Amino acid sequence: MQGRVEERLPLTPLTYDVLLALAEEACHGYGIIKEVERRSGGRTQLEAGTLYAAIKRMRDEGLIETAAAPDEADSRRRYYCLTGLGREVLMAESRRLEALVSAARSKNVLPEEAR
Amino acid sequence: MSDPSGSERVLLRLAGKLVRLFPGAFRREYAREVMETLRQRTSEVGRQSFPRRMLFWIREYRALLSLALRMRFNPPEDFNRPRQGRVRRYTRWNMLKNLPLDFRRTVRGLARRPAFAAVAILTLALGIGANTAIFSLIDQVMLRSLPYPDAERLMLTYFYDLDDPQITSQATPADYLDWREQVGASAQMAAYYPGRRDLYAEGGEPESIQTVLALGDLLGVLGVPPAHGRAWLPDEGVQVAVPSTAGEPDGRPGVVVLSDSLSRRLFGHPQAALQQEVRLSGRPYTVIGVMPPGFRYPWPDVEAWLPVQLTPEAAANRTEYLFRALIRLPRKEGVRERLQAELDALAARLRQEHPVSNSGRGIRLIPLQERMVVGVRDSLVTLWLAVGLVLLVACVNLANLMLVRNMGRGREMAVRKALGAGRLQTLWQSLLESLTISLAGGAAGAVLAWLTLDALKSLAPEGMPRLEQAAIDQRVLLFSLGLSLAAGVFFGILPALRMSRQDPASALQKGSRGASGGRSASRFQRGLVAVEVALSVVLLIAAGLTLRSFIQVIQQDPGYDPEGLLAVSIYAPDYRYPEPAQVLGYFDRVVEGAGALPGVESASYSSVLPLSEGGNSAWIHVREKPIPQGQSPDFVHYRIIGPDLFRTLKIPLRRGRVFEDSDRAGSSPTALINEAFVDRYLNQDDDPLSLHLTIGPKGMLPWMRIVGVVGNVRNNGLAQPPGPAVFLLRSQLDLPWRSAELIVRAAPGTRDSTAAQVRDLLHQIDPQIPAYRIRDVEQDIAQSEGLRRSVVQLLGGFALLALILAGVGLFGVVSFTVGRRVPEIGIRMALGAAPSRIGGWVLRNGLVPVVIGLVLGLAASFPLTDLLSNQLYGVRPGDPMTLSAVALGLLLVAALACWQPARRATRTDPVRALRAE
Repeated sequence: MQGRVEERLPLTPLTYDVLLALAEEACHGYGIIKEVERRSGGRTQLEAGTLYAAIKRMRDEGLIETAAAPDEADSRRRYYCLTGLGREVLMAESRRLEALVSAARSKNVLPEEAR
Repeated sequence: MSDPSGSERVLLRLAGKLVRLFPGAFRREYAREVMETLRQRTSEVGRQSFPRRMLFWIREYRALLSLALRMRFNPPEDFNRPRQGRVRRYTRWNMLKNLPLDFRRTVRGLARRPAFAAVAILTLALGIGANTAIFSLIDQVMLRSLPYPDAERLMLTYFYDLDDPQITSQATPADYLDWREQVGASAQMAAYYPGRRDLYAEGGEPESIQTVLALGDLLGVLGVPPAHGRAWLPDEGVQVAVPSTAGEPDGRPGVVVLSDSLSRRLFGHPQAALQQEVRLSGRPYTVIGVMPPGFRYPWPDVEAWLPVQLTPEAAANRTEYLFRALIRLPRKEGVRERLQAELDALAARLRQEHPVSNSGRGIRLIPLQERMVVGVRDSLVTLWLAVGLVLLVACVNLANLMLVRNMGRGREMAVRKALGAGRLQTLWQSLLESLTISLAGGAAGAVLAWLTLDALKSLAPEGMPRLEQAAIDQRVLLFSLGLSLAAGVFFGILPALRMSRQDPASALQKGSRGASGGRSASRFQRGLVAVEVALSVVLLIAAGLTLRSFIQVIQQDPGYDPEGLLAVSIYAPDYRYPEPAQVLGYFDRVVEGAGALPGVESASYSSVLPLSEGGNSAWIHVREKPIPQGQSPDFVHYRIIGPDLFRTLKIPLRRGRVFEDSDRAGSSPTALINEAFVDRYLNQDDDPLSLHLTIGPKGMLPWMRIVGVVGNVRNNGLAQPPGPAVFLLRSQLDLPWRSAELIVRAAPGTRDSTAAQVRDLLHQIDPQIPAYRIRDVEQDIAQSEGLRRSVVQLLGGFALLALILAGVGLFGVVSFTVGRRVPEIGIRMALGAAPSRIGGWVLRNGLVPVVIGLVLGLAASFPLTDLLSNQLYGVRPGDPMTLSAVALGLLLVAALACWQPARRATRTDPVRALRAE
């Protein structure tokens, strides 16, 4: 299992963004776009096509899956959530990034105040 | 969340179309969600400023398009691999790596527009097909080296006229021996002349075959040894006298080398032919060798090669210009120039030593290859230029088509560029399309050429060397491949450049028609039409001039009435009729018998058939007009004829009388001359009927009294003016002539039956003499202009093709312009413009480039058709009738091409036109 996770690193920024957006709750496509936009302060705007191509790929890879919609009435949208593998990959990538960031700090690449 | 506005709806719809580009599996799973997400995003960004909204859409479109393309064309494992960046891979463009992908996309794109693809490929197929077919002829006839080792070192040696170097002649036996001595050991040399021989095969009818009589080691000079057996040795030649028809005095058996086909026909197999005996014209020959299959030097119908030696009298002969001299130059630098210098010196010496026969004669080496194509080269080059022009017209036409097509794709290209496709990439994409079209067109053209090559060969005149071997082979295919690629780049580059320059944002913002750069593009298109028209005009004028020449030529009066005339060679071989009186007896029997046939109006014979080129010529002396000291006599054509020739040929008598019964052996010798003779040699106040003439060296024949003047006959082809000629009566001459042309005038409508009767008659009179082919003089005349006729037909065909292409091109441009201007036309009509004015406007629009092209073409035609001038007859390059006919015809075609679009414009419904806007 560990090997399967390590194999996938590093993630593309897009994959990481989507995984991160789904970390707390299941979400539909539009929601993912809004969440990514919000978290990046509007700097990352996903196009619909880009997002759904990524969704398809990540589903094929077993990182995310469809989830039951909390709002039954809205049948036009599908909700997506992380799989176990997805969560593990997200964690592994976050750890890898954390290690990189702390390495950067130890080399004084980042100013201390930013902590 | 408000409903999307009208423009947003359009933008969303376009996104929907782009979503359809995704592979089916993805579409089924996600299309609805993608669209729903986009709708939400649309209403969200709807509140933003216009540029931001546009930026949003460009990004969305670009994502949809690039991902759709990636999913379609990248294998899933490749696509699924996580990678850095999202669309980078596509934008970091690698021409070679993406070639298969780009090519597939191009083919798909073409397949979606089958009409465009079909028109484009067909246009090119015609252009490239014509070029391929003509090239296969040119390659075979002119470019490919002759099938002899180091063929470029083979030279023919000719006399030429110092006053007019174009006039060449062969060598007399004595001249040849002089040349031979001069050349000495510095080069291999041999000579040959044609001779027919009667072949008696075991148990078969006698037949006449074409043979080559060779002096020296002809096969060795050519470098082609027999495939079986051996070539002849220096002393194996049988002795011949000259003229050759005088027979072969020494009785020793000769040796012969046969062609592969004759050896198979006679003995079943070349090997079996060796050491066998064949009888040629009553004399036994031992077969010592058989040439390889296909070896036919120097004429395509040669069946045997006989070595000969000259009798002492023949070796001194300086009157019979008989020998073709072939030299193989050694492989040394400058040897040709040195040899030519030596021959120049020799020619000067011969002019001094033999002023009578050699004054005014130079000696020239001519490469064998050059000599073989001398008669057809100009015509072939003309045709080559013509098909080149046709291809140019086709390319310009295609450039126009591509331009129109690319305008319709402005949006697609803009999106591609928005995706990050560089200018080079857009250019390549567009070029790839034209290359795909041109390769497909080239392939179709090669097939077309292959299909039409036989027809083309049959159109070609007889006697074009090596024509039969012309084929669509590897070399020719390579040529058409190169031509296709060149054409693809040629017609693709301009539209591609234009498209790659487009600014994506402006293309996307423009109206839904997606056209851009309208005005400059349509100017460009009209420019292309003008070029097309100009090229077609040049071709049409060239075709018109050759057609006029052809008509002028065939309308020339040959000087006699060819209708119903049949001709057949008759020959009294010495082994059957050794005495001259017997020869005459044979001729008389034949003519009498033929004259008595039911379908025959009259019959006679002549040493040379009218309209057969060359013929006999000899010095002319007029007793009453002696040649001044130091001058050499002129050559005139002479004919040795039977009685009744003029009645048979219907040559009119101008003065005096024709030959009568009283003119016979033993009576005072008489002669007839033609009008050209009078014009050339006699003064106004001379009475030709009081003069006496003789031909050849003085004293060979008696002085003969001129008893009449007859009309001129065009002997050297209809395009050549008739020259002076002398007619002598066979029965009054003691000459060893054994052959003649029997000429028979068949009663109207009995030509075929009469020909059969003549054949039976000849067989009856002497079954031992082989039957010759009976020819139809009328057909021979037609064939004598065969080259001209072929050029006219082909050039006319190519010009017509160019005209059609130009017409189609014009039609395309005008209807495209009308289509794009429908709203404008609608407004004009709504404002009260009369339909006739609209029609006139369209017509004017279409005709302006045509008139410009016409003027350009007329101007260009002067220098270009100058190249034709030596193939023209009776017309000059600037012939006003041809020019005005071409201009009129072209305007007519142009008006026709504009007519339908103009009519469509006048029927525009203003209301609908405006609503479409």
